[in-house]
Order: sequence, then C-alpha cells, then structure tokens
Amino acid sequence: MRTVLAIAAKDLRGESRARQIAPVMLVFALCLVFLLTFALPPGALRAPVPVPVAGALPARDITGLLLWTSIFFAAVIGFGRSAAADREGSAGDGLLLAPVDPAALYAGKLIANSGFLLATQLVAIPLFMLFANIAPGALFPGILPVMLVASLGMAAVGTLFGAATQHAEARSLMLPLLTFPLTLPVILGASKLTSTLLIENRFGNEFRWFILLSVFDVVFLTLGAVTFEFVIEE
Amino acid sequence: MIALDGVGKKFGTVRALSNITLEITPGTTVGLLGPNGSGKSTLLKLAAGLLKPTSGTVTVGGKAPRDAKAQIGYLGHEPFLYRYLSAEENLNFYADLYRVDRTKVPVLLEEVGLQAKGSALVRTFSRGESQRLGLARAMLHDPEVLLLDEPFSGLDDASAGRLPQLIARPGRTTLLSTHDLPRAHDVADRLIHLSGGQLA
Repeated sequence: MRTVLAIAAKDLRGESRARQIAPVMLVFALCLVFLLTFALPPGALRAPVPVPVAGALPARDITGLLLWTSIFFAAVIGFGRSAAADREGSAGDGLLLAPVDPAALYAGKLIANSGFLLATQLVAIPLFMLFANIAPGALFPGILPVMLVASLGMAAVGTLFGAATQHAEARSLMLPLLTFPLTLPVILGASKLTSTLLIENRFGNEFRWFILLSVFDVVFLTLGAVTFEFVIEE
Repeated sequence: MIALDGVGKKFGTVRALSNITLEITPGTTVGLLGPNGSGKSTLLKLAAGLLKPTSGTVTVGGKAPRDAKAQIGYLGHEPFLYRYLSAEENLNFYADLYRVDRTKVPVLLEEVGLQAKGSALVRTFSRGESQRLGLARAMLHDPEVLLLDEPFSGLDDASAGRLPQLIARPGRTTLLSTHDLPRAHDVADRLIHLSGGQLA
C-alpha cells in the first residue's frame, strides 16, 4: 500500500506543478460541452418533447451522451499526458528497475488518473449544467456515484493502454483507438444513468446500468492489475 | 556475480549483441569499452533487466535480473528522474519504492554535492547535476551490483574525479561503460572491449 500511495502521490504532486494533465482535460471537455450544448435549441436538454414525433429523439435523452462523450475524449488526452510524464527522462524505466509489484504500479497510476478525471468532471459537469440551463438539483447529488464508477472504469482501461502505447511511435493515435471500443459500455452506461436522472430524478429501472458499470470496473481493474506486468516490460 | 552465457540481442533485424559469454566476479570493477553502437548500453540494460536477451541467459547473483532488482543499481543515459519533483522528493520517492529509510536521502545528496539543491526542481538542473542525482538514485539502496552507462558523461573534472570514491564499497561489483580510457584504467580492475556487438 505504501508503494501504491507513493506512486499516486508522485503523479499528483508532479501534476500540481506541471499542470499538463487536468487543465488540458478540462479545457478540452469544456470546449466540447460548450459546442454540443449550444448546437441545440435553448432549453432543449431539459425540456420534454411536447408532441412526440415518430422516429424523433427527445434532446434531453441524449444529454448524458453529449456529456460523457466529451468527458471520454478529455480523459484520453489526460491518460496520454500521464503516460508521457513517465516517458520524460525515461523516468518510467526507474519504476521498472525497482523491486515493486507491477500491480502496485498500476494501482498507483490508476488512483492518480482517476483523481485527474474526477477533478475535471467536478468542474465540467456544473458548467455543462449551466450552459444547458439545467437546475443543479436535477443531477446532483445523484450523479456523484456515476462519476465515481465511470471514472474508475475509464481510468482502468486508460491507465493500462496509456502504459502499453507509451513506446509506440503512433501512440497518440493508438491510445484512443484502443480505449474507445473498450470504454463504450462505460460511456453508454454513464449516459443512460445521467439522462434518466435528468428525466426521472432517480435511476429507476436503469439502475442495472450502474451494476454493469460496477462489474466493468471490477473486471478491468483485475485485468489491469494482472496484465500490467506484461504491458510495461520490453 | 554477473554472468552472461551465449547472450545475443536483436532489435528487429538489427543485431546489437552476438553470443556474449562473460563472468564478472564479485567485488570487482569492470570497465566496458567500445565505439558507439558496439552494444555497451544494450549489455548493461540486459544486466539490469530492462531488456530481455534474444538468446542466451543473464544472471545476477545466480538469479534472473528481474528477480534481483533489490541488488541492482543502474544509471543509464537518462537519470530516471521526475522533472517536476525536487531532488529530495525524487530520492524520497525511490526510497519508498526500495523500502529504504528516507534519512539516507540528505546523506546521499551531500555525497553527490547537491545538498544545497535538495528542494530545487529537477527541471532546473544542469546535465551534470542531473547525472549526479541519477547516481544518488542508483546508489540509494546500497546495491551489491552497480551498472553505470557512461557515468562520467556530463560531469566536470572535479565531480568525475570524485566518482570512483563515491561508487566504491567493499564487495560491490561494478560494471561501467565509458569512452574515457584513462579514467577506465583508474577505476577498473579489468577492462572489456566490445566491437560490433561482440567481445573483442
């Protein structure tokens, strides 16, 4: 545990000075959120559709998708930058030389990446609600557990593939290509939960998505801890 | 202490080392000489466990390098330091990884002449200062085996002159690569020449 905390603290302390991960994620997420919310008519993301039209989708049903797709792409930038911090000065090789369980390395990086992602969401989601003219009580505090499980899921995949692609020449291309398909259940689940929360003010029947996200987290955290050793070696 | 048996290493189609058989006895310092591209760095990385041989075996103290990590200290071309942490924070971090008492950190900083720069961020360090801090990192856990790739590189004459005393420890096995033949003669008990990935 001491090793896990040392690695997480190292990443968080470094970022508090370098400011190369969280601010970049935040700016990117805000730009996407701003663009997507302003592309729709005012109030569209909170208003019910007055007269249902066959084949039409109420705009508020895609609120979650707009939000979580933005957060995902911001997250990918963050995972790439986080892996790059270990590449500078080959500092990551120093971790490989140390007598440390690779699972502990993974856990430490995961905690830091989840932290960056949560911090981004804590600023981006209220601003998204502001842009979309959504009342604070419509999403908070119900969205907090969704943020937690979704962040953990994205970070579980992103930390693994951030490390796997860090020595690849086309790493900036490889990372989103590998993480996007695998993270689809997280984006979809978090989107459904967010939209349902906005419409019904509770999860209701869609709570099954929360269970799916939790199972996803357990599977990918285990997979990451077990395979990290093979991912980081030559 | 360090044994290579028929070791070869290829990077794609490029053969960096061919059939190297070498044994370095405990407590000795061996200098590794050779022109650029002769395979010195590859050999040191194989001994440190950062690379896997394509053929043959490498052992350190009778174990595979990855199982002997606590016994190995390695300094490569890069110092393996985090630029946005201070010198002291970097060494404290590695002390935690190696489960070494953090009280050793100020002592080591003084030994490498960086006691006044303990709280300075590594990104502000010169090449020589980074190299000295990298050396402190490699020696933090008092390793039995020290692997140094061009350790004199970037050091001024005074620092380079102090290096042999700094790395000396009874019973320690040291393998260092260098282009500096006079310094290699000063510090090493034995010299090995590599050429074209083979022992010359």
